[in-house]
Amino acid sequence: MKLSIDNRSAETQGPATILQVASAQGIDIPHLCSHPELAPYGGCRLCIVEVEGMRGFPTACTTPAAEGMVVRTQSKALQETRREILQLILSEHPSACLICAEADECRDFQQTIRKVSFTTGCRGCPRDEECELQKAVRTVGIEEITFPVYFRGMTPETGDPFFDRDYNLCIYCGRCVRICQEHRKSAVISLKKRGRLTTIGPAFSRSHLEADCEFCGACVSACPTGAMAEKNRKWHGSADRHQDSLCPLCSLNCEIQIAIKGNRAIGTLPPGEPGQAGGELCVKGRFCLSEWVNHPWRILLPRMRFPEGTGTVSWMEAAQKAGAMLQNSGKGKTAIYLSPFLTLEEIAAARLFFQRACVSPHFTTSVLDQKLASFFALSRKSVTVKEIEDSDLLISIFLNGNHNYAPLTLAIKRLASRGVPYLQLGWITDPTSRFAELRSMPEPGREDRLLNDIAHALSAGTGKSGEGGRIARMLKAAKAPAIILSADVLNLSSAEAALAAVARIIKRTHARLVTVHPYANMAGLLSLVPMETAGAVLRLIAHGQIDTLYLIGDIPFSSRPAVRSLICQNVFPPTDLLAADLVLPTATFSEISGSYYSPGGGRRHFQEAIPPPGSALPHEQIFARIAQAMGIEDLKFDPEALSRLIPTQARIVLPARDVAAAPAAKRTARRSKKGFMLLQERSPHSYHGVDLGTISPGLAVIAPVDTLIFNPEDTARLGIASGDTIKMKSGQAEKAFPVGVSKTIPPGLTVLRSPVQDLASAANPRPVRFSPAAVKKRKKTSPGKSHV
Amino acid sequence: MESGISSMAGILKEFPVEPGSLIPILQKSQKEFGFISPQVVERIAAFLKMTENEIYGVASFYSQFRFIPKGRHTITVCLGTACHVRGGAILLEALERHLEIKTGECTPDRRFDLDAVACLGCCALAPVVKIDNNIYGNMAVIKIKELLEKYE
Ligand code: SF4
Ligand code: SF4
Ligand code: SF4
Ligand code: FES
Ligand code: FES
Repeated sequence: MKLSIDNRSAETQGPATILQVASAQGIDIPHLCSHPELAPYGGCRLCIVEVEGMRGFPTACTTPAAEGMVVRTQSKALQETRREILQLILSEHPSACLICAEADECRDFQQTIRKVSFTTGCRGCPRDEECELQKAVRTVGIEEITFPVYFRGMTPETGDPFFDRDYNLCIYCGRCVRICQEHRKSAVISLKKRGRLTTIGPAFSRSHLEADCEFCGACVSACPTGAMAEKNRKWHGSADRHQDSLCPLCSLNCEIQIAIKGNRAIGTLPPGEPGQAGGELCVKGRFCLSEWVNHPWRILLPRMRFPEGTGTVSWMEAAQKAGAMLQNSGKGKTAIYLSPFLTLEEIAAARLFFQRACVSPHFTTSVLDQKLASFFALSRKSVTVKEIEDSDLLISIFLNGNHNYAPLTLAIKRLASRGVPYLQLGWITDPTSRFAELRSMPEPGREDRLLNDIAHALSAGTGKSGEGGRIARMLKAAKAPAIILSADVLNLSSAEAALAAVARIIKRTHARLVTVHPYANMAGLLSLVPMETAGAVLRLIAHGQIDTLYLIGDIPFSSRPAVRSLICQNVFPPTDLLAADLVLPTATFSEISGSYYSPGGGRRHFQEAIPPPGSALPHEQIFARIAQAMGIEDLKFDPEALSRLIPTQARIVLPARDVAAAPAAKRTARRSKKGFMLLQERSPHSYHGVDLGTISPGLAVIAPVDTLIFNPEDTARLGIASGDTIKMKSGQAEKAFPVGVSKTIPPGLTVLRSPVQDLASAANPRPVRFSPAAVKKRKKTSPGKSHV
Repeated sequence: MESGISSMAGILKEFPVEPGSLIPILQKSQKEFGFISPQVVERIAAFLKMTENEIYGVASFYSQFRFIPKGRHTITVCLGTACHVRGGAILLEALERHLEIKTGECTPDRRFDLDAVACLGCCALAPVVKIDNNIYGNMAVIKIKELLEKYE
């Protein structure tokens, strides 16, 4: 359709608003409350225009463009009215700097000190220079504010992790509220009260933490002012540039962009125009990555252990030492732990290097057990999240989407709110639960039974009664059902039985399967390297059959195992108890280029954004230096040659079945009346063997590890509170843990998450072998507190 | 609250699960319990498949809904433009200090609850304080103590 805007002809295919057509033409109509991801709102009225044949000033962001429309955006009357509107907005927003005659010079020299006495002004605002209000004032042009000004005097809210809120700077455009409700479908914040008393936040005066905020940061990105500010980049100022990349933290590998200032990655955002980005990421991709890259604990120089202690050494010395250790290691006596977070190029280089540098090395990764192998056998069939968008039935199995798997939980929420029935099987309440038509909570300890019932009902005909029969009937009736299986299922002792049942269900229904897991590029490891299970390698170490242990981005031990030499190549230093002989600093996310196998098995590439800090090097370069020190001259790891070794599609090869693994523990009894079922989880929040909670204080708050988490009803009944310490008893075992409280956990269940690196270690056994298992609580006796 | 929750089920039974039910449910609940408690919001949220935050956002927009139990007397301080200019906020602060509660709370003896509104519609008398249905214009901090003594 054709129309005219400011005497220029404009054209548009399909429906669009006047504002959209104008901005596509490069005509700038001032606007504050409109946002590309959100439905037209018409709240700020700054985008008013004149349309021939229409009365008054319609708002461009809500008025659909129509054939033959004649639009004016810059008439005198419009500009006058816009100035009035903007002045009204500014009468409730600290505005000294916005209308100051010396503003331009002040940006460079800040000579106007007199303002300090009554306002902190724009120079102290985290959004200075990126603020859309500043931009609007500049385009509209305002010299003074003729209305009485009003300062709300609200206390800034700084108590929640990841972002702060100063609603004195808020212009009530509602973008944060709308992105949380419309786009994320989380509805954690609302506009509360009205008029001058309007505030924004969760129900009552709850904090975001209390309101189960996902901390996805969509609201922060959507805010046009400095009212919402990311704690980490509050004082960094605006970014110089942005670089597209991929999030390395889970199997979904979301597209992200890295905000860069100088040589620092100051933040990460979802793709799109930086100030207008949507909210497709989870808390890890949005907030934790820059904390990881910039953390002060990073290793900057190679370190070596000498009899008198450890000290830094040059790369030359380090490479010679590493080469000597590998050369002195006997045939089949080197074990290499590879991180599932390595890029395909790093994995290919590692394989090439170790097969030249050692004789018959063993490759493994600490999380690779028989259960994970079975999960990957099934994952070969997984499709991408996009591919299930035309499904007419969704079933998630043991999905815990809290702080994880954002694109998947968003897809479920969006489909379900369009009316697609969604069934959630599992105990944990997550962002998708509110959209479930049916929530099925299998009896803890007997959880595979329901899946078997479904599989059985599918083959036995439709007559089956009970929940299994009902779900089977729904599956049969659906044309395009999708099953979502999360690696959270691996926390169950019955995981293998559950996975087998899922495989049978898929076979009998042709349902599409989507699997998600927190081990980003595990498919790459299994495709490019002949892997063994961690258990198999662990037994070799225990039997003294390993001379040299080479840990690459994996820290499976919390104390030194009995080996002659131990090399640790990672981003963060290993614990002192590991007594590594050599610690080699590596480049990490944002500092490397490479590729991952993504869900669906295709290969996706990303580019480096900044140089690594100190003397840290990419893995390939470390291998090249060691190879040179060993006299293997031809190993150069030329990026193009490496890339040719990597197939464009994942071809997962499973490790040999770990037959010698300890037989599954016996099922424990059902829980007694007063007891609990304990679900032990491996934390899904790790990167290169490091628990992300140790790097990100915010993540440690929202997803605590080594804490027994209960439903609030249970803590109220037991008379315990968050922060107390209690003892947990199961059979003969007894261990003390701090208490946490969360509504995401159902009554009668308690969840204990362990940081990932402790699991493979014999020194740190899980408190109970079976999960979930029946346990009893005993309150720790401390003075003044009684036994429960 | 136990009995409250069971009569809550009775209230919800009368309404279809659709967004349009929200206001009538809130009205009925307020009539039944005198105020909208967090437990009531939780129940409505589960019933309408909305979040507690959405429900609270809608409910708090209307001044007819209250979120604290009523005291025997309700003090309302005006913070509209006229009253603000003439010291409404200072009055509110003084009342908070005097009653040892915050805005939106009720004294432990249930004698007073305290709230603020955006305009009471009698700006000529600013600053204005309303107790129950009585309007007190041209208020000042020093008059507070004496005024409150009239209400038992
Ligand atoms: S962080 Fe995400 S879930 Fe939390 S309030 Fe903002 S948009 Fe909503
Ligand atoms: S906090 Fe920001 S996004 Fe939310 S209403 Fe205020 S100005 Fe708009
Ligand atoms: S869902 Fe996964 S890939 Fe996406 S931001 Fe979160 S951790 Fe990263
Ligand atoms: S941008 Fe159109 S009304 Fe705000
Ligand atoms: S401003 Fe207080 S009565 Fe209108």
